[in-house]
Amino acid sequence: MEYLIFSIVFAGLSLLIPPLMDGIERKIRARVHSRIGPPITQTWYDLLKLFEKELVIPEGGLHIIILSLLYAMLAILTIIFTVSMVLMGYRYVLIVIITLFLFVQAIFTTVPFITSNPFAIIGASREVMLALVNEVFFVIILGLYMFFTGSPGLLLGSTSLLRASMILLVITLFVSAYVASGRIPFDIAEAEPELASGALIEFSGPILGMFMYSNFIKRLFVKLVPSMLILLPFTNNWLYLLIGSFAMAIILWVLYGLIAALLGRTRVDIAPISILKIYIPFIIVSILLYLAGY
Amino acid sequence: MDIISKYIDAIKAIEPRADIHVSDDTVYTTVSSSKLRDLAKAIYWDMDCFFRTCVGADERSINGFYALYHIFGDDRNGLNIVLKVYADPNNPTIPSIVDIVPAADWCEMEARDLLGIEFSGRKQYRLVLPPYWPKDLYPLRKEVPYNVKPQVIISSEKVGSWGKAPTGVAVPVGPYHPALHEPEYFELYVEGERVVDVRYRGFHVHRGIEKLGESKLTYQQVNFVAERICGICGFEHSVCYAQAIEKAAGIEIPERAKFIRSIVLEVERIHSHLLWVGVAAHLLGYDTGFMHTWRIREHVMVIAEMLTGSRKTYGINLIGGVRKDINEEKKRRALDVLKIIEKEFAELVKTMVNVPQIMKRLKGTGILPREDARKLSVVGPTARGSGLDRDIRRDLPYAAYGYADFNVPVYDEGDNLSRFLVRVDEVYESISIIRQLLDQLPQGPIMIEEFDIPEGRMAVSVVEAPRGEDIHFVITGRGKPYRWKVRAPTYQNIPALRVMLRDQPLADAPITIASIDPCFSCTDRVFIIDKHGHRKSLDQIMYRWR
Repeated sequence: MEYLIFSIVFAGLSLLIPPLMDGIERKIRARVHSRIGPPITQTWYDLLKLFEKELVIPEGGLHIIILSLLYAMLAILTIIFTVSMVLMGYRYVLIVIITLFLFVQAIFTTVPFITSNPFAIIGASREVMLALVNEVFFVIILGLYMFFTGSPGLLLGSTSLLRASMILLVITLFVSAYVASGRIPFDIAEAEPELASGALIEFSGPILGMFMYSNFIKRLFVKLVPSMLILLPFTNNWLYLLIGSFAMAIILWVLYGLIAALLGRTRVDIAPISILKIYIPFIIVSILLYLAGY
Repeated sequence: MDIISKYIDAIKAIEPRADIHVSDDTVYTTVSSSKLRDLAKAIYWDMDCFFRTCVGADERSINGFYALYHIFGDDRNGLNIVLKVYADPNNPTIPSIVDIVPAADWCEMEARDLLGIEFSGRKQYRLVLPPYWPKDLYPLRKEVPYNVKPQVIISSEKVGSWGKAPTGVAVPVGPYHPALHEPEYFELYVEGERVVDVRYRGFHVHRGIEKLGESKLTYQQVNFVAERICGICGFEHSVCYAQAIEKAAGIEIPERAKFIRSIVLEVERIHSHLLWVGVAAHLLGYDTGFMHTWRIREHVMVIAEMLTGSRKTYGINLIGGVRKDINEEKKRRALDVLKIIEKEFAELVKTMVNVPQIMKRLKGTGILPREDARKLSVVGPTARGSGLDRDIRRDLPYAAYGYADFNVPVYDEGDNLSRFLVRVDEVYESISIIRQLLDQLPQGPIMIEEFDIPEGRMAVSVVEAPRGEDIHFVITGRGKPYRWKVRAPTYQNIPALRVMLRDQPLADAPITIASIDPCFSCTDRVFIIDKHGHRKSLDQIMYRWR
C-alpha cells in the first residue's frame, strides 16, 4: 500500500514539476537578461492554452497525430515506470530505462520526417545527427556503468560506486543529460531564428502542447537518471534515493537553465564534434581507471 | 592637374561632344548613348570609382526626352560623377552597363519597371512591380496620376532574378520568417545543410513614395515623408533629402543647424548599431546579449527623445535647418548618458566575444571578398568589413562632420565577424563625434526661413547612414521636386548576399543575411502614414491597394 501511495505521489510530481521547472528556468533567464519575466506557472498556462486550441491536423495527417500521441504516452510512461521501478528496487531498472528512452527519442526524431516541410525535415535531421552521438553515448555510458558494477540495476548503498571510474562515468552522463535536454547551445533541431521552430514547425494547438509537455518530461528524466546514480552510495533507502534525486534534478534544472542563458547556439557540424571531444576522453579515462582498479 | 580637370579630360577623350558642368562636389556630364558604355568603363574601372545608383526621369515636359542618370562616386577625391543619357520618347532604349558595372543591375531594372526605359544588351526582368501589374503602365511617367489603381488579377510568380533554377532543395526564407523582420523573400537552395545558391525577390512593400513626393507633396512636406522611409535610420533620409534641395537651390543653412543634424545622425547610428548587435546575438541564440544590448540602447533612445522630442522619427528636419535646439542642460545630460552607454557597451562586447558560439559562428562565415565588394559597390559596414575604406562622412563631408576628428574602422576579412567589429568600433567613434560636436556647438540661429528654390536645378546628396550611403537625387520643380530618387544602402548590399551565402552552412544564413543589416522597407521605400497623419498597418495598405 505504502509503495502504491509513494508511486502515485512521485508519478504525480513527475508529471506536475517539469512545466513548473521550465517556468522557474524562464524566471532565472529573465533575471540574467535584467527582465522581470513571466510567473513560474506561465509554462502551465501556455500548455493549457495550447490544449484548449482547435486541433489542426498537420501535413502528414493521422500518422502524425498517432505518433505524437505515442510520443507523449511513452514519455509519460518512461518517467512513471522509472520512479515506480526505483521505489520497488527493480533489478533490471537500467535496461528498462535505456529501452524506453531510446523509444522516446526514436519517435521524437521520426515524426517531423513525415511532413514535407523542409524546415521540419532539416530540424529532424539535425536531431538525428545529435542523437547519433549523444544518445548512443548515453547508452554506452549506462552500458559501461552496468559492466563496471556487474549489475543491470541500481546498487543501493554500495560504496564501490564511489570509485573514480564510476564518478567520471556519471559526470559524463550529466553532460549527456544537458545535451539531451535540447537547451542552447544544442537546440539546433528547433533553432527558432534559423528554422522557424524546425522539427516542431508543423505542430500547433494540442499536438504542439503534447510535444512540449513530453519534452519537459524528458528533460526531467534525463536529469533524474544521473542524479540517482550519483546519490546511490549515500543511502540505503529507495524512497530517500528518489527524494534526493528529485531535489538534485531540480537543482540541476536551475543550473542548466543558467548555463543555457550564458551561451549561444552551436551548429550541426560543430555540435557532435564538440560533445565527442568531451565524451571520448572521459570514457577512455574512466575505462583506464577501472582497469587500474580505481 | 586638379582632379576635376582629370575627369573632364578623360570624358572628353571618349566623348568630345560631352556637355560637362561642375556644381559643388558633382561633375554633370551629358553624353550620347553610344559612348555610355565606354565612359562607364573608364569611370568605374579605369578611374576606380564606385557606382552609387542610376536614376530614370521623365523629362518630356522639359526637353522632350526620357533621361537616365548614372551616378558614380570618387570617394577618395570627394566627387560625384553623373553621366546623363537621353532616351527617345517613343522608344526609350538605352544600352545597359550591367556587364561593365554589375552594381547597376537593380537600378536599370527599376527604371524599366517605373518609367518603361528599355535596356539593350542584357536580360531584363521585373524588379519592383508585381507580375500582374499592367505592362504598359509606368508609374513614374508624368501623365500617370499618383493614385492610379489599375484593375489587376493577382497572380503568383516564379522567383528568378538571379538566373536559372539551381539544384538542391529550396528552403524559403520569407516573406514571413523569424529571422526577417520585414517582408522579403529569399529562396535558399541547399544540399544537406550547405547553401548552393540563392534567389531573391523583394519590393513587396514598394509604395511609390517617390511618385508621391513628385506629385502630391510640397518641398517641406517631403522631409517628413522621407523620414518615414525607415523606422530605424529615417533621420538620415530626411537629412539627405533636405541637403539635396539645399544643394540644388544653393541654400546655406546655419552652422548650428549643421551641428545639430550631425549630432542626431550619430545618435541614430548608435541606436541602429546597438539594435543590430542585439539582433545578431539573438540570431546566434545568445538572447542574453540581445536583451542587454537593447537595454543599453534604451539610454540612446533617452538621448534621442531629449534632443528631439521623440524616441524615433524626430521630425526636426526642414529645408533650411532644424526645428529643435539643444540647450546647455540637454548637452550636459547627453554627455552624462553617453558615459553610461560607453561603459556598459564596452562590458557587453567584452562578454559577447567570450561566448564561444558567437565567435565560432561569426568568424569565417558569410565571406564577401574585397573584389566582389568592389564589383558590386557595396556600402557601409558591409564595404568596410571587406576592406573597402569608404565613409561618406569623411570622404564627402556634410553637415558638421568636417569639424569632428574620427577614425573609419576597416577590416579585411570580409566575414560576419568583420562586419560585427566595424559596427562595434563605429559605436565608439559615434560617441566621440557627439562629444566633439557638443563641445564645439556654435551659437546662432538653427533655421533660415527665407529662401528660394529655383526650378530645373539638380543635386546629388549622399549621407552615411548606419547601413551605408543613403543617396537622394533631386531635380527641382515648381513648389515640389520634379524628380526625387531615393536609394537606400540595403539596395546596394542585397546583391552581395548571393556571394556571401553560397557554400555556407544553412544555419549561418540568417546571421549572414542580417550581417548587411538589411532594411527592406528602406530599400522598397515603404510609406505607411496616411494623409491625415494616421499610421496604417501594412495589411490595411495592401487591402486598399488591391
